[in-house]
Amino acid sequence: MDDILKLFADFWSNTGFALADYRYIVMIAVGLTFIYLGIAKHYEPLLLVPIGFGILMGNIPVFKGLGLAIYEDNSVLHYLYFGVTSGVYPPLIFLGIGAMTDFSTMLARPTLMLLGAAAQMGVFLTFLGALALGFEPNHAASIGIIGGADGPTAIFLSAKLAPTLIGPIAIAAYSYMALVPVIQPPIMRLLTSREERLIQMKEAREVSKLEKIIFPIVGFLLCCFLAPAALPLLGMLFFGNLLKECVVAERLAQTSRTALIDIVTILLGITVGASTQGDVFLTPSSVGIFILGALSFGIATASGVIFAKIINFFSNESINPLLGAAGVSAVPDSARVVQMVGQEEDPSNFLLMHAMAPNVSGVIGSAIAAGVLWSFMN
Amino acid sequence: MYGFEAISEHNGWAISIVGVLIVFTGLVTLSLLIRVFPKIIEIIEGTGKPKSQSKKSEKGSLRPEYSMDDKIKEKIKQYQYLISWMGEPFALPRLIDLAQKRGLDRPHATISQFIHASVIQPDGKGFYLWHAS
Amino acid sequence: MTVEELQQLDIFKELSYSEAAQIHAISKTSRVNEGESLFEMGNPAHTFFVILSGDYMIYFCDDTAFTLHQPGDITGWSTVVRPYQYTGTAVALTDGEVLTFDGSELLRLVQGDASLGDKIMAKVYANVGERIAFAQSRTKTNESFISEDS
Repeated sequence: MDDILKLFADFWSNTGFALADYRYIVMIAVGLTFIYLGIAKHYEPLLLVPIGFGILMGNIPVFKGLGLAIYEDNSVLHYLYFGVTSGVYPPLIFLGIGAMTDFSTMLARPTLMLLGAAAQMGVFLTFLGALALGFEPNHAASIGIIGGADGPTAIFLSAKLAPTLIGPIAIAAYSYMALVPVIQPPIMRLLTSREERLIQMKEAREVSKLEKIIFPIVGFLLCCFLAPAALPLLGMLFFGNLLKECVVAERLAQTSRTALIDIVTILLGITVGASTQGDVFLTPSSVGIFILGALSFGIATASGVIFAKIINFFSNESINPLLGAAGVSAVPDSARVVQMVGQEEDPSNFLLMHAMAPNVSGVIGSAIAAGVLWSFMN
Repeated sequence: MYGFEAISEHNGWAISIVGVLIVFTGLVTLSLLIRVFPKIIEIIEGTGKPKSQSKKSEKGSLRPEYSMDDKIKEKIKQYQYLISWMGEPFALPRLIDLAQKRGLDRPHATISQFIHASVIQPDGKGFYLWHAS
Repeated sequence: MTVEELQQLDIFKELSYSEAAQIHAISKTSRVNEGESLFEMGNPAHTFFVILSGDYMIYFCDDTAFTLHQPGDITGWSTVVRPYQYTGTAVALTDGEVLTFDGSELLRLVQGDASLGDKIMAKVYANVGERIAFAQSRTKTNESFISEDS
């Protein structure tokens, strides 16, 4: 009888109920919230549902040493997590993004690319803010890249410079990307007048097929000669785009923007979520990361809008300054936010297509910023 | 170490300024290159213009032939009574609702027939008028 | 429905064959029965409809309404226009067929082919422009209505 009771006691001591503490419970609540936001509210469900469930998986209290948890060698989650820590998954996602994105609005009006560049001020100002808060330079650079509003870029740079911060940085980046429709509009309205919001953009010129084929090759060569550290991300982005535009490799482009990106998104989401174990995630530095992340989005939005207003000083052809907010590279959500805010003033003002130009150039800009920061920190 | 001291210690100002300049340089250079793409392509291809493809649209017969119900006069009487009770201009959804409650057969299809026969016509403000004569 | 038939609809008239094929790839043809609702007021707008056949009524909480009868007529435009929830309820007056587009697929198409996206949205706006003001003027009454039971 004693043996039976002892066995039950041993069994109980190894269950999650016995091993749990408040940090796991808090993180499970966070995971459930993400799942709720993704399913019920349709906030970025393709990201929040895998991340949310990954948080649940990572916060089941397990007995260390059995090779179950994500940070233990030989665990399944650890092997899957390798794609995150080695920086493999983000370039594969960029391959899919390149294969699904049309750069022609940007090619038709190259001036709008500068708005994507301006929005990257958010990255560097947040970097300064993180340094000021006492983060070491590698960590500050990883936190700063949240302002690029690009989940794969943030994960890539964190994996290289601050592997211990991948969890909070990824969660912050993806959370704020999902909240772009909430964060951006007040800043956009504050920094623009009604007259400016009413500016209608002229129709862009037609872009030829040959331009769309030449662009990824030239873009890749130029950007990677300038910032070689951006090679993995930009190489895959431009390669994916070339597959799409050259037409002869449509099968590869189709796979890249459907099956491949979906598989990698699943693995990345679930493992990033699982990496946010309560004892690792719930620290004062995570709070700092979340605060800085929110600031970085705000600064990036403001920088893009203000730069658009500066361009209008010097240009004959006015740009609607709302387009500056689309330089925050949460594609296509920030372009859609621009459309929404513009239509509040004038339902006939269709800005979505024009906003795609700074939106996609922001992707290139944030990858260059990541490459620059990586090379400086090395 | 915190604040400006920390930034200066870790060379933060220089990194940020140079970083922003590099990002701008890259995208400005790319945008300038993109501006000359059309000229380069013109040189490569000559001045051939792309053929414009415009297909003449043919009138398709996706719409089934509209046919009048033989019993439409009887239905007009039934609905006229409802409309005299509702008053004009009347709300179309309310008319359908009333017709359903009265047990009239297939009110939706009947309303559609009335509209096609111009028995019911819009008043331009979202309500409808009866023109049974 | 074939790609050629799709090109006969006014909204897609100006598309080339390859563009129409892209539209065709994300569209679904659905049969609708007399009296059936396509969408209801206040629900999130996820689907966009192009009428192929049949007659339809769209009505609002203040009982105003308009009807659609022509192939190529559009409804459910709130998928791409504020407030991104249906401002009215659409009901089929007769049996018919509609072409449906998922809002997120349409957005992906816009992202993936700017020129095509531009053509579509310009046509949408030209087709429904005057009706948007009509529908949006009803949203103020909608907001108080949504809290009531119908």
